[in-house]
Amino acid sequence: MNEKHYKEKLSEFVNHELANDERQKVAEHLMLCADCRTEHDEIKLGALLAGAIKQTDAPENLWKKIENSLDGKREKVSFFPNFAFFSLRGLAAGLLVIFALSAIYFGILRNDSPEIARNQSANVALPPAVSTPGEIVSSQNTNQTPETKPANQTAPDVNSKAPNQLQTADSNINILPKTAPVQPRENLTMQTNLPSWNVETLAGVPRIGNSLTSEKLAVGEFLETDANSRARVQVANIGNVEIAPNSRIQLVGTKSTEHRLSLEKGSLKAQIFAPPRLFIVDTPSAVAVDLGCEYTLEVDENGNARLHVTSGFVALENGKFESIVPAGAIALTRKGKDVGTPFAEDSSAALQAALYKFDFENGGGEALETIIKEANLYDSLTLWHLLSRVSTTERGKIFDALALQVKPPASVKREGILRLDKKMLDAWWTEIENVWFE
Amino acid sequence: MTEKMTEQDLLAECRNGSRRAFESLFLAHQKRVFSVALHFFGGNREAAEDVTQQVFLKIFNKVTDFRGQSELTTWIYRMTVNCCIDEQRKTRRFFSIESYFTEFRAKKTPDERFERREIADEVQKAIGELKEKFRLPILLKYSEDLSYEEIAKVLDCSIGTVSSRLNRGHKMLAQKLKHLKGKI
Repeated sequence: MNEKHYKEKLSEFVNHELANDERQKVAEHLMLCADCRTEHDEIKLGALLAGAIKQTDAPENLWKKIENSLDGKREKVSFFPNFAFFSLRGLAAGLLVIFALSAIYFGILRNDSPEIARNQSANVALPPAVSTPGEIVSSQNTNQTPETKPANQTAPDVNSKAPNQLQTADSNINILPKTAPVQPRENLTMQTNLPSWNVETLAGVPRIGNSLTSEKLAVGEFLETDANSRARVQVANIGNVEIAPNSRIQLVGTKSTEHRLSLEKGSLKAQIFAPPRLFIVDTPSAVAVDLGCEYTLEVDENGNARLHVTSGFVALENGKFESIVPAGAIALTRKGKDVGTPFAEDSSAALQAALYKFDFENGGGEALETIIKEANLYDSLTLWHLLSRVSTTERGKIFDALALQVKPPASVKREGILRLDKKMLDAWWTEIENVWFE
Repeated sequence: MTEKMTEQDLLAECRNGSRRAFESLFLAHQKRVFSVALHFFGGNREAAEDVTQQVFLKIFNKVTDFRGQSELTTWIYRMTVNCCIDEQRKTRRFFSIESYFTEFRAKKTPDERFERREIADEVQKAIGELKEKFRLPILLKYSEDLSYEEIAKVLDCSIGTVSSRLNRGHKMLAQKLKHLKGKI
């Protein structure tokens, strides 16, 4: 009964950190003690798994970057070594600090985007004078701070859009007045400090404005890739976007509270590590709002879009509907139509076809019947979104189908869902998230 | 002994401001620094690159302070760990949100899951989700192959603390990734 257990020594045992005699004792104990053996097996599994990580070389160009920093750094170091101990040097350093702070205040803080790179060129290449979604957005209020609603706290607000926001998808960009203004084109040439993002060529010769050699994408400028070109755009300090061949994007605005691109055609892959709603991509048929994630967004020649999320969440919005698309799900948009209902990437072909008919071809009740019939556990994502997109009569059927897949929490009542009670929708959404991700 | 002398010579040259010596130091240790940072940030290469850059700039500025009281590698690891922690604190709002999202792992479709993501990536991500105090011993042990004693020196704690944190870290990993049992 008083036998000594060795649970606290099991990692050392597994990692061969014990001296021979102690190792022997632990081994003997494990032969006899099922409790310690269970724990040992778990720790051994953890150790085996951890063994899958390996050392990795830093990127080849890193030394170059360090050298560049050193070149900048060294001057400061050689001017004022240990300046705190030398009054004159300290004074000079103090002046330098005051100068630097003034420069920051007047040069950076007065600009909305302290983290962005500066375009050094005095003459910025002009994009062609065409009307773009970004320009439409630019006419809106510029000082609004984007909402910072984390995706886990509330479910998508499916029924709270103001009536005057209910517009057709053709004009949908107007409904999201959350962006910085695009500089009027005639002013661009006179700007010397336009906010810009760094661009890295991955293949071919991507074009920025009229330039084939620029490595900066300034606000208002377009980046275009042909069939052989690819580029990676650094999104301020929050991530990057890879631009696929045959794509055209515009940097709409960049500031600490919002970074916004417009994808006119083609495809981009975004990797963003930032608070929700900081990175936004306009497309001709909807707006993709990053909620902290990784995703691919494609826009075809007709302005229709396809969003595939591989990590985190993205909200796809057009003012009337908001689709929350989690990792492993897809959502479609069609220009002139509402934002499509999201679906699991492995939903049945029949369900996807029926959903397409429902969303974009007035599929109505027949399409809904197919969706209900085909729905499995992971189609709860689709069913939940459909609750707010169907008539009250049909909502009852969707409620039943969803309840079969994911039991509503005690606080969620059928009557409440039928009247689209937001609290109840949120509560059920939380359950669906748990099923989806766990 | 020769190796030690070489390292001392290298450090001496670095102290004299030799760019070539510093480059050699970078080449000798870049893998260590980058790997620790990469695993610390759950595979985020950009964050790892930033931290690696910061660490070597710090080394360059502080090499005159290094008097060999500890092993050079221990000093570098310690600096790397501190840089990672600082960076995480600076960007806590980002990483807390990221870790929130990473809690939501891909849904349960094991076959597809393995097609999409290699085990190592999944492990790396899971390690990145562990609390800092469990994450650091794990990555120093498995990425860097340090002994418990070396880990204790880097983290400035006792071997017993390293041992108990590894115990818990191992168990957490096993629980998080139990579906991988039999796949490795």
